Amino acid sequence: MAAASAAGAGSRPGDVALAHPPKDGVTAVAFAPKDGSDGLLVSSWDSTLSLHTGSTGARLVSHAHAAPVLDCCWQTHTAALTASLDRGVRVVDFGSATSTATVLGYHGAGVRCVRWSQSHSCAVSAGWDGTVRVWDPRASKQVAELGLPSKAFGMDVCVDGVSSGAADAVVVACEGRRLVTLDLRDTSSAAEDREAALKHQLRCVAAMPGKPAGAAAWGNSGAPGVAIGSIEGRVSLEHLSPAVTGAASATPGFAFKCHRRDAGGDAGPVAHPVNAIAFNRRHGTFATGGGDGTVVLWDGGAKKRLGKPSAAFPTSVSALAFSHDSSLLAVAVSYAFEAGDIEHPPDAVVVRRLDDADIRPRAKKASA
Amino acid sequence: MGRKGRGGSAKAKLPSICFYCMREFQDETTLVAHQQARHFRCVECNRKLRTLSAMRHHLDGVHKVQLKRVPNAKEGHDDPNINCVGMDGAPAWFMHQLMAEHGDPAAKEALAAVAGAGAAAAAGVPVGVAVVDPVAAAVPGAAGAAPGAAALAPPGPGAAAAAPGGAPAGLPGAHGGMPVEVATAAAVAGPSGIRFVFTDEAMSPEEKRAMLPRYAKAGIAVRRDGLTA
Repeated sequence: MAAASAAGAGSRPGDVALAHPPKDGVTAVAFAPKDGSDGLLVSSWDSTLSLHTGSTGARLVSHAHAAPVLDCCWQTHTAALTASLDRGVRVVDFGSATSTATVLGYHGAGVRCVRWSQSHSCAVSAGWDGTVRVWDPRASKQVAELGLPSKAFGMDVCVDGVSSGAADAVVVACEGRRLVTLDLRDTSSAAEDREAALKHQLRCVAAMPGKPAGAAAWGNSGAPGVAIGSIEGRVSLEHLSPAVTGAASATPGFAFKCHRRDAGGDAGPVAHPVNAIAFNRRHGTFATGGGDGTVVLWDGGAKKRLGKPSAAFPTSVSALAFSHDSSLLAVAVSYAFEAGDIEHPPDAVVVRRLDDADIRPRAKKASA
Repeated sequence: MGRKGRGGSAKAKLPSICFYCMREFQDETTLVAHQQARHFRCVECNRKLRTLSAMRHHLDGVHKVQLKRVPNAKEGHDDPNINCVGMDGAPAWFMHQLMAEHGDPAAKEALAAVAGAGAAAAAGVPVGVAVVDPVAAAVPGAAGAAPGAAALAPPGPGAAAAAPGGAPAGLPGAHGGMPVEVATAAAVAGPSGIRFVFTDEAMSPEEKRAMLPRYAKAGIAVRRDGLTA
């Protein structure tokens, strides 16, 4: 069953540590997009994509790649998409007895992010070659390619983000703090290309869950958008512009500081990179994970932190994922090289069970 | 949480920032209330005064004390002679820096040029440029705008004399190597003085990790610009 010492420091009773975590840094974790399922994908610098059972921590399958896997996501509940340092985008199928991988194609350089769009039945990937590419897995070929202003550092798909729900929007965070939005109906040019509100390198992007997530429309803020984390311990919630969403007017976003700790002594506070952001579908609230090893829950609509930051894990939090029914949170406790190549605790993934009270939004105050 | 100018428009309204302690506020009214509570409050008797000069007069008249530093103000921002209420009365160099950071491209280039020229003359490395965000934008502007910048009112008296002489020598020499060096070495402290664990603006931690020999395989070595070897 679960390892007794679930990642040591920072664990709460009831946390389940994966019994066979990857042997090198964890780049992404993702729960299966099916209610009741706790299948957890983990991609890693040890070149594997593995599938685990979130509730027990047991490992089901591990698929070896030729090079570190930088991102992964689910396509169907038995197949996954992977983005690899060897420039390839692949579909890994777990349906049969042995897992098989099919290459969809290659970027010009390492692929940093990959996502699946259910409504458009296509995979989208973005890489360090400065392109975002759209793939059709049935034909195993590239369908579209768009040049970005610079290397991509983060990406997510804003389901139903375009034109009041007619299509999905892909938001890519690039070097140089640029945010590019792509309408999946027309990938010949970017729907929007602008500077993010953050002043330092963008690190991760998470799209607010859309209307289907019950009352929690758009991360409780009323308009489609994304949460963006930077290397500076700051997160900004930004909304897609009205030109993209078809809304009547722009919804203002805001930014807040997080993952900043006092390093002790008289050195003053230190800002850690925000490595991961994940929204839950049940309430539209979100979690952030940082280089300081903590996980913090936030309510974007009420602009409040939910509860206290978690007790710090032994090393950075490199990836986060909520389960489909929002009852579990997978936390990848894995040094993300924020301070260069140094000794670090072993990489682990911890699955934490959440109470509804942990992620329920707080009521907005009547007066600001 | 303070509200910054929207990322979307280049012409974002200037945010309300307290000159003395650099904190941001939603509007001018809250900013003034903050200043009265934090900076214009008499340290002896706790009375809140309306302006800094009113507090100085009060301290002098009632308590017979000379004000040396503005209470609760940051280093370099605590001159008791600068009477700033809201954003009125803030010195020109501060307003200029604010405008540069919040979207005026011409101001941004000019500021980078002056800061770069001044520091280049002093230290040989344009460290000052790091204060204004992304280096890549500032560098080409700095080299071009340097001759014009000498005409602007620069922040310190030394920079004015140094700029015409120092700029041609300092900037072109450093220009070629600048984007890499400044991004990693000079960003020791962000504009607000907080230290960052990870300072590189141009490369992500994943790219740096991918450059390590243990991840290098034939055909997928990562160069500094992210392209494969």
